Amino acid sequence: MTVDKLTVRPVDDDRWDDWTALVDCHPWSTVFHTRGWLRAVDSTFGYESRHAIAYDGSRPIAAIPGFAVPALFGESIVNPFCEYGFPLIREGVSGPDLLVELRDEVGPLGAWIVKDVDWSRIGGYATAEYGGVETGTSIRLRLDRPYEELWESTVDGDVRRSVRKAERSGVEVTEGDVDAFYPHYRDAMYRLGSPQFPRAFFEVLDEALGDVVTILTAQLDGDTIGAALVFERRATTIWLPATRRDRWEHRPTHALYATAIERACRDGRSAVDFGRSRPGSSVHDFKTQFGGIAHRLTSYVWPPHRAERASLSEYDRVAPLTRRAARIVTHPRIGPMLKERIHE
Amino acid sequence: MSNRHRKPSKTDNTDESRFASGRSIRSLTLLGALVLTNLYWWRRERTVRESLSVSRKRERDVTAEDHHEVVSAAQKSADLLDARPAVLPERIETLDEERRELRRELERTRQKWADAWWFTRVEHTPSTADVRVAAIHLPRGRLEDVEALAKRATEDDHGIGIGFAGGDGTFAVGVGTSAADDLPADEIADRIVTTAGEGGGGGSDHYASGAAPFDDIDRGVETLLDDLTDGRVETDWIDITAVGDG
Repeated sequence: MTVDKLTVRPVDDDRWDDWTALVDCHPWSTVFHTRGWLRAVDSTFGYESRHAIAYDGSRPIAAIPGFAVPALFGESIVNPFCEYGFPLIREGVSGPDLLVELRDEVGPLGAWIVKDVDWSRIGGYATAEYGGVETGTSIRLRLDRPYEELWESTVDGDVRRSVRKAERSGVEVTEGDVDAFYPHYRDAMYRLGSPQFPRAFFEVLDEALGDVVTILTAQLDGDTIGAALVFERRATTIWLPATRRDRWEHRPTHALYATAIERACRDGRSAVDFGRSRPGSSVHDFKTQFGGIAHRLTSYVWPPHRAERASLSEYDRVAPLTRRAARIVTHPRIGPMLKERIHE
Repeated sequence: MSNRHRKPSKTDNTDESRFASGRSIRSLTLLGALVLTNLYWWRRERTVRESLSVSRKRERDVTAEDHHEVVSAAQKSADLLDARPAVLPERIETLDEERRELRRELERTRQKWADAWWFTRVEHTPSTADVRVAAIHLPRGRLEDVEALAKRATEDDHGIGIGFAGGDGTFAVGVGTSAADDLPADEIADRIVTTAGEGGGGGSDHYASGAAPFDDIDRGVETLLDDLTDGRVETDWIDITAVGDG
């Protein structure tokens, strides 16, 4: 397909239908491209929307999500809080041409950060002179066979044993709500010393995305010992799992993951995405046990001399300090404010 | 008295010292600015170089992954054919020719078998009837198989051949020139569909085909033959299942 006249437009009220149509039909679209996600981020954090939609004449050919978030100097345009913010480009449209057009949307002290993953198959960042920063990997399990077969052939024996142990302990996984999820999430963030989302964000997400958002809770003897926020779209994304550390012996995290995978197989989803982790970390090792493939996450930045704005290494460096200052970092007022500034 | 020979006063020394000190501060400030500017540009250049290197690497990887997929597929195909990837085109061409030859051989075998069947069941059987109907059910057969039988029947002036293929639920009807005056093939096809209760078919006076799923093929065909011939012509019905080939 050749593009006669490529124009990039901001997404205003009149263009949301085009956006939604493009996202719905694009094979690589993720929940982080949907209007529901963008609306939840917008209404909770109030960032200025900079989503762009590209047209060939009047035909929409690409959708690029982005919010203007504050940087030390100027602003960065990025899809915050998620792994995937790459442009959804119709097949046959040139990646470099679109990326070059996007450069014009960046102000004097600004930067456009495009969060990409290797399975998006978008090329042309180097041609368009975007600088790349590696930000970790996301593990993705393809669901190409029935659950029982997948469980036996792909999932590590240790995981199977852990799930059996959870069952023997009496851990049951049921659907829950934000009330059941949030305390576990907040505790997990406290443990990590990482600023938390405000509770309102999950309530808006739940409302904006409807059936796509599922909260799974792990129950033991009538007590909720863990919960996970899962997006169930074309693929299932296990976004925020959080379990009580004093109950880890009953393997609630394994039970939550197993249930999410089983539901995804039952509902005919294409894959289960376990989200970002850093190779070599215990979280990464845990996720790989479920048999998925690690895909490289790279953020591309225009102009390239501002590439460090996409780097996550600074967060890793300060993590030991923030863990010590967890009480401040995750304070109900301070935590969400920091989250808004950090936008990761 | 010239200033040149004037003894420097205390005030002059202070001015000079201030001047020197001011110059030093300016120099230091400029030096600091120069260092900072250099640092900034050095860091900026390094960031650009490193980040573009990541972008280029990713670009190469995407291309390499595509290349890897092609190589991997070629190697897998070569393994299946027990050949080297380099000779794959030649091997595929040979295989294709073999496949075509096998299809031709299969067609010849069908014709031979149809000849033998028609000869045994119809031509070789003494009869005084003007029209002779032979029907057969091949439980695993397909349309191509029963077509061969039907076409063979069209070569017999007084013959009517009906074949039912259980493999795909199809049937084919062939009618010889004289027999077609009384029982054209497309009319027989219609009656087959009516007897089965569902399906569809069509064709010409001499050849017709279609699909008609029978719940009970024996009963269905017997009813059909009775209806077709009204007892006026000789019929032969063989169900291969019944003779042990099912």
